[in-house]
Amino acid sequence: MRKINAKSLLKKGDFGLFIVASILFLVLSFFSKSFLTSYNIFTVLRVLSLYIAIGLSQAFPIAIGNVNLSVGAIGGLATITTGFFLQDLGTPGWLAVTMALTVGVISGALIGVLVAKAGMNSFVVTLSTLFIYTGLVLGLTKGFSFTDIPRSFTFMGKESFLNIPLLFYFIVFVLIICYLFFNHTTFGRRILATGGDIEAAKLAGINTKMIVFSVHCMSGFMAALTGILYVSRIGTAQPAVGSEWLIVSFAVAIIGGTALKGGYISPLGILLGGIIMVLINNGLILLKVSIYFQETFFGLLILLAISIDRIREIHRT
Amino acid sequence: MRKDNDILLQAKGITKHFGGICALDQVDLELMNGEILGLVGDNGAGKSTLIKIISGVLPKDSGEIYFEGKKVDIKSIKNAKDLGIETVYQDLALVNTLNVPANIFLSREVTYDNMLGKIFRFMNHKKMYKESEKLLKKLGINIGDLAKPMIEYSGGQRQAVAVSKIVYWGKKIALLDEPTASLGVRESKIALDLIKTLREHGLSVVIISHNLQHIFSIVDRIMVLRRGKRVGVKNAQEVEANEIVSMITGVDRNNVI
Repeated sequence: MRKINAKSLLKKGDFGLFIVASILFLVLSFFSKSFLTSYNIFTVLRVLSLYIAIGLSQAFPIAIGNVNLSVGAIGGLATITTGFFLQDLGTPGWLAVTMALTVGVISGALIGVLVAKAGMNSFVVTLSTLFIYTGLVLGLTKGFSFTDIPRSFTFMGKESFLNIPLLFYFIVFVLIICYLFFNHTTFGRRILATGGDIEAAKLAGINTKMIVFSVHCMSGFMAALTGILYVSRIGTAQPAVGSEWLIVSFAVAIIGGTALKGGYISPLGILLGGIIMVLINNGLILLKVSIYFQETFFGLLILLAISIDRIREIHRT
Repeated sequence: MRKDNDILLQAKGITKHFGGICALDQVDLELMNGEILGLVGDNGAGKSTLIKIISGVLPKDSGEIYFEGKKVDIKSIKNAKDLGIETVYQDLALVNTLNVPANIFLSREVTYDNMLGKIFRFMNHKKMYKESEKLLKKLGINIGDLAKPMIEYSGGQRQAVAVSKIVYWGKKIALLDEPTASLGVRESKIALDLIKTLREHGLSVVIISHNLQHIFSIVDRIMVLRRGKRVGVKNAQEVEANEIVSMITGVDRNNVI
């Protein structure tokens, strides 16, 4: 019988991430007086929650060997949809959320149809949707934000329980759902089979077209969720919100161990990957590194993560 | 003289084109109940194509297939599996990132009987692991811990898992495309012994191989294809290897059936 012990729970890759995250945590605690303050930790956890959410939206397509370059743009569409329904239409929060999630799923579905049915390459398709959706976000809002968001909507985004942001509890809940989904349900397993070897999956009788389509819908859903959580977190719906998310989505997904060639995803890994990202980001801020260099650091991190992915790959074979 | 009710699978006039190339030209195939049929031919002869048509991977351009005497239309992999036809493809069609039970139960996972299983389709990992253990033990296959990703097993072990899948799921017919192609001498013997036991489990077998020595060691009859056409079928006991070779290469010294 399969051994279930601490070692298999923190599989080799995740364990390495845990070590790195711990080292970063210790280094930051030691070198910066303001790191371990409750205000800083609180802020860090809220940023982490959104990093994980957008990381998941990229991890899903990567798990089937695809990408979604438009996750940020879909997040933007969801953000302005939320703002529109809350401010211009004055609808209750749940309706705004539902509409925004629907927009996300439809945005992902469009990608899914082109990739699964028309057989187009996801890189090319999502490169196009990146521009299409971004254009829609800017065109529909003409650059203006929705600032009249009801305070009640920011409950999830701003409140805390036992000093831990509600956002974080929520995202941990989402991660647990993902873990159960991929490790214990038939659909989740078939997604990993499709990602691991699409031809073998087809020969086994798996409807890989439906799987690919569904995964892109899931990606759109998560991207939209990120956009909604963002509105809840800052209290306004800004149209320019999605552009930085793309790089974060790749960084968190890849550092988090999502194998680039597909077939593997670890929600725990993504949690740890998000923590590493956010600690490095927080560290740069506390060390007063110019924020303009932030993208350079993220880019270097992604390069490092890809190298680790490559090493893991060689080790696997 | 074979009685008609001995014929389990009969394919008549199977034709398949790929663009301008004729892969199969009016090919007939009969598989008798309980026999092991060898399908041989040079590269490009059409062997894999014929197997893929019977296993539902490729559609035929024309021809008919009869299963247990009744005409059938094998339009998909699922159709073939429903008829009880299981296939081991040349590259084994195993997912490298999944472990042994996951591969054996791929697309046919065992779920819990309760709400968790029925609504959320939660898989019963323990049951699948135990069933896989039982299956491999029954076939005398020992590959140790089954929970490792498929890529960590050797070629022979992977082949063993692929063939054991057939024993578990195959009800009537097993189609094997080059099962010993990537195996060494010892592993080939193990694989061939396994294939011989398929008959004991009630399966009729079609096996494609380039290795005539392997073919002769286990099959009852040998069917030869050449450039998309059926050259002939011989009883393995009644024919010599070099006659089969000349049928494969085109120097016909015997009557064409």
